[in-house]
Amino acid sequence: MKLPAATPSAQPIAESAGRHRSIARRAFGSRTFVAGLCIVGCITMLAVLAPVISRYGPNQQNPFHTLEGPSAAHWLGTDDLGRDVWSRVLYAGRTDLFIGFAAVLFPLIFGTLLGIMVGYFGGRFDTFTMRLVDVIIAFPFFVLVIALVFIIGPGIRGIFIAIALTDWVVYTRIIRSQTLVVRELDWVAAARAGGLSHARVLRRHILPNTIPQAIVYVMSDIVYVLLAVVTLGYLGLGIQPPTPDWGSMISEGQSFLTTNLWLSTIPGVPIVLIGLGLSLCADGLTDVLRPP
Amino acid sequence: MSDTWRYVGTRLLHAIPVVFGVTVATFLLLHLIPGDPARQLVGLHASPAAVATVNRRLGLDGSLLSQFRDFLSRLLHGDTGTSFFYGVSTRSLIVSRLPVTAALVALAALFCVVITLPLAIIAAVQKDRLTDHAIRVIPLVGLGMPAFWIGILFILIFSVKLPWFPVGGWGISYSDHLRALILPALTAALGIIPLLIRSLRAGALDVFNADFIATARAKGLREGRVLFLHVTRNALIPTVALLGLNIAYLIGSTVIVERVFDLNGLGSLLLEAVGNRDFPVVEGVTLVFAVAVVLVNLGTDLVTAQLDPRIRLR
Amino acid sequence: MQDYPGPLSRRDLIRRTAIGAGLLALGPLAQACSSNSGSSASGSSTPKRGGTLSFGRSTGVFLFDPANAFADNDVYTCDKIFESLYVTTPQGTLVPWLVLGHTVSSDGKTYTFTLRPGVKFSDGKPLTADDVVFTVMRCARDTAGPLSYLDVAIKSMHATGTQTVVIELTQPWAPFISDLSCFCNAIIPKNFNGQEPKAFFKEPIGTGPFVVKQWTPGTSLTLARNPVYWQRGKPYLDEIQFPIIADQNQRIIQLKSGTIDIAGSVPGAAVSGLKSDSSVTVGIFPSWDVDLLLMNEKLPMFADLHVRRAIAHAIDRKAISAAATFGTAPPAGSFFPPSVQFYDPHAPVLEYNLAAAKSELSQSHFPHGFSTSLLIPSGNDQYASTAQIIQSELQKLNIRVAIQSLDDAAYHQEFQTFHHEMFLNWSVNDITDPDDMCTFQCVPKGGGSYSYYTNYNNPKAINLVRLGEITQNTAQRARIYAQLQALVSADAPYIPLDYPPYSYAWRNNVHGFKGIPSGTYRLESVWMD
Repeated sequence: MKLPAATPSAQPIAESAGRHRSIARRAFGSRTFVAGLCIVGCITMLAVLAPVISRYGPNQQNPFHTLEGPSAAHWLGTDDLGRDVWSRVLYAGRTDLFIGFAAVLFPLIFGTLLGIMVGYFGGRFDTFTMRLVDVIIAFPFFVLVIALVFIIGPGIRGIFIAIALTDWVVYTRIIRSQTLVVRELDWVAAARAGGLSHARVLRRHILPNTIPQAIVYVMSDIVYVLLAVVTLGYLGLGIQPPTPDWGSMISEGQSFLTTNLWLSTIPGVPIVLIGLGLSLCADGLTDVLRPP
Repeated sequence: MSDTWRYVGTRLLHAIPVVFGVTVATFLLLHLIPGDPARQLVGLHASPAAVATVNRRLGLDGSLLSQFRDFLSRLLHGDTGTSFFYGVSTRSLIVSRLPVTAALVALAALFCVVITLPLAIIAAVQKDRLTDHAIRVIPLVGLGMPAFWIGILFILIFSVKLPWFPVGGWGISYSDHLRALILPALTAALGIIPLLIRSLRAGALDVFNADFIATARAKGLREGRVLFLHVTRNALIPTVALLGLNIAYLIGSTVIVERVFDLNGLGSLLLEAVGNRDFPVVEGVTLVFAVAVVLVNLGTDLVTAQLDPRIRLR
Repeated sequence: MQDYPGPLSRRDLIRRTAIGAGLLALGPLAQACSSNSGSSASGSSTPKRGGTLSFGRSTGVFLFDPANAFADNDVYTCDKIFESLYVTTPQGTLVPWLVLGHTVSSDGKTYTFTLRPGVKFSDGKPLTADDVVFTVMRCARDTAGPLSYLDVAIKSMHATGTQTVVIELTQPWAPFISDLSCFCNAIIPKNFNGQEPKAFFKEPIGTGPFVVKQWTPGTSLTLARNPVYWQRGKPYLDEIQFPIIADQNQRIIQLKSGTIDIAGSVPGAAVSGLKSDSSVTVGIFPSWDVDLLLMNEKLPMFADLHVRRAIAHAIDRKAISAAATFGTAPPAGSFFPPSVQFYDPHAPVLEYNLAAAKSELSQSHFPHGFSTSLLIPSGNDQYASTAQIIQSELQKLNIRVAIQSLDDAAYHQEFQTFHHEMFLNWSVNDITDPDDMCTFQCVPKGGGSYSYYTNYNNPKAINLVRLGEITQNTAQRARIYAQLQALVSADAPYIPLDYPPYSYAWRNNVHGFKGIPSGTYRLESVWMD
């Protein structure tokens, strides 16, 4: 995974539930954020509606019409087994977007909670956890994920587990740095002095002021997960055939790179667009969270 | 000065358990992966006796615990073992392949800085104008592109259609090497540049908002020099920090980039060794990568400390 | 054009039929005539001496020890340094190479070989019978060797003088000359020239056309002409470099741009594109391999003969050949490839016929189909396509196949420990005689592989294999193997899908390159202009 800059907002916003609504409102006021959301939304819609929009099944083979170019019958042509590329791209979206959105949930939740805990309580727990984080980060990314997928087995389950085991570290790091800042603030100390339990402080004061950072990062993280799945496909460790997935479509199209360029090019387009959309969302949110 | 040395010492001391952790984790993971190195070495036709003989030769016939003890004692003596496949010492393999990867990572880092700096500062200066939006969007497109895909496209465009660069391989002379590295380094850099542009632009905007500029102008420096000296120096800090943080990613991406561009570096060696279940080589290369990441992180922190007089090393 | 040295007389190659392929019985005087299948257009011009050839391959060379090498490129490079007593021609027949010929005793157990005079090792020392005895006994005695089982019939060997070798077998053994010709029995100097084996194989000295000029294991290799090579005038090339290009697209691109002169392992998908490139020639050479769909008979559904026959009828091999191999691999019938001795072109085959498939299935214990998995090695595009075609074809019988794609080492471990249900792999054959393949695929106990991990156990088949090993008469052997092919076809323990070739592509200024069915190529006849 790639690590973002730790840009702790210099001024945590005051504690109130209304603050969440104001962030949301400001987010939708940001043109960048809205643009990004539109892009992501469009592609997600297309993927969800795949069974309705596509004219062929994703695995419908036709040995007499292989490697054809775009035509009226096949808008994006056919692949080496005669399957309709447009249909496969749509269905691949369902697989990939599902993995992208779902695989980040565990790292987000676990990583954030862990980050808050170690940042707040510190001590040996903190030292041990951060050493573990350092170890995982020190592994060249692909090596660890590859090793885990090897062990667990390729396919969706292996990918989910491998990502769950490696991706949480960034969230922990981000949230911990932010927690360290928030923890020192006067009003937090005052809350504790006023008799608030640790749990309440964590829940009502620390969490709301740290989680926006994580939300911003999650947007980029979904793209990294998608890229990880694509790369695993390139290395032969990804989604098992014949389930379509943008990554393995690019990988399978590689054999035809010099003759049928579009087979490898086209599945990359939705990945790029999703990446663009999510990054715009992240940018917009970062701008919104920046103190004025 | 002695402060710095003490800081370096402490950091290195803290790095040792991390590197150790990586090595131990690698060992364990390797032994968990299905697939038998001995069988990979003798082939499909070999008898069980042949497999057993090879297992003994490779030192894989003991219990996991005894293998681990042997592994640790070897490591503490600085012995990274002998490659199952190549039959030569892991160290010699790593030494012969290291220059390629080191050069690749260095050039990629250089590209990161050289491309990010002007683009990000222009974007910050032109904030919210068309140039700003254009600069922010274009690298975002690069964020979503898989490295192997960009690589192949680069080859098709810049090596096949336009014969500007070699199609692959390392070449013979130093200038050959440089030409061979440009496309791969660019491919690797494109994975991180979007992040860096975003960060540097934000950092530059922060500096624009601050009083530095007002003070500097008050001191009578010309506009251009103000921009260059203060903005760059202060905006550079989070970017260098970010680059350092992402070195692990850059190093990891050499695994793919070297494969696509047919470069004989540590990345392709690692990939090959994992496929071959060549345990000593995987352990050795992972160790080198981990040490590199730790050292680069340390270096990054020192550099940012130099750049920002406000940071005190603790 | 005479590619192979003629001994005392020439005889045209008898076209390989079930009867005619018995070169062994005809004795050592047969001469292989090289037909120019797959070679470049100007095949009749005179060879030019000199030049450095750049041969791009997917992996490097790790080992030069013939008795221990088995990785493809190790084997295909070893045989440029070390040569065997007999060598396989591109047509798949054997010709005497380091020997002039041999005689066999009447009981079939004693072979006497006469060495070719004038053969030297690259350090100038002459080849003697002692070297031969040392080499073969070393390979035979090494229990850890990957191919030492080929020498299992040898009881003892000794040299009579410097030019004669006598080998005693434990029993009459028809495949013996084939076994002896295998690359694992390539001749090395006695006692490794006095060195330690490891040191010797770092700077190997053999009788072959080339010597090692520079070698970093797995990384780079350059061979240079052996100045004292026994075939005068050859090799034509001064040097050969072997750049390692793992990515198949890269290999094609580098060939097209002229960075390399020959590209190995050309994928089927690239063939049509290369054929339309006028600066490049494509050579598609038959191999000894057969792509197979293998079924684990330890599982109840595959122990059922009717299920297996139903599957055989349900698979359209023509579709697989066209789509998965791009027409480069002909659809298969018999489990013998056409290039192996005693291949029977008339062997009965369970043809693609959906009605027959359904009928067979209804006679089985699983008339309503079942769920199963198909194991393939990852990174193999052809198998991925084949598996998906098979999956969709078996769907019609309500056999629901889930594809399981594992990386090479995990894939091997999976089926070698019988954790698979069905898997794709190719047949393993390193000699022109079919015995190796038949033992491996039809003999569960003795073959060491449980009938290629299917557990196929038919006493009739086992008997036929054993009979074929000890029968010396070629006509009889042909009949035995024809029966075996028919039996295996009917039993369908595995289903032959297609006969994959070895595909190479080279620039038009390269001449004389021909692939041999074992996968290797003789480079002493290659020249460049």
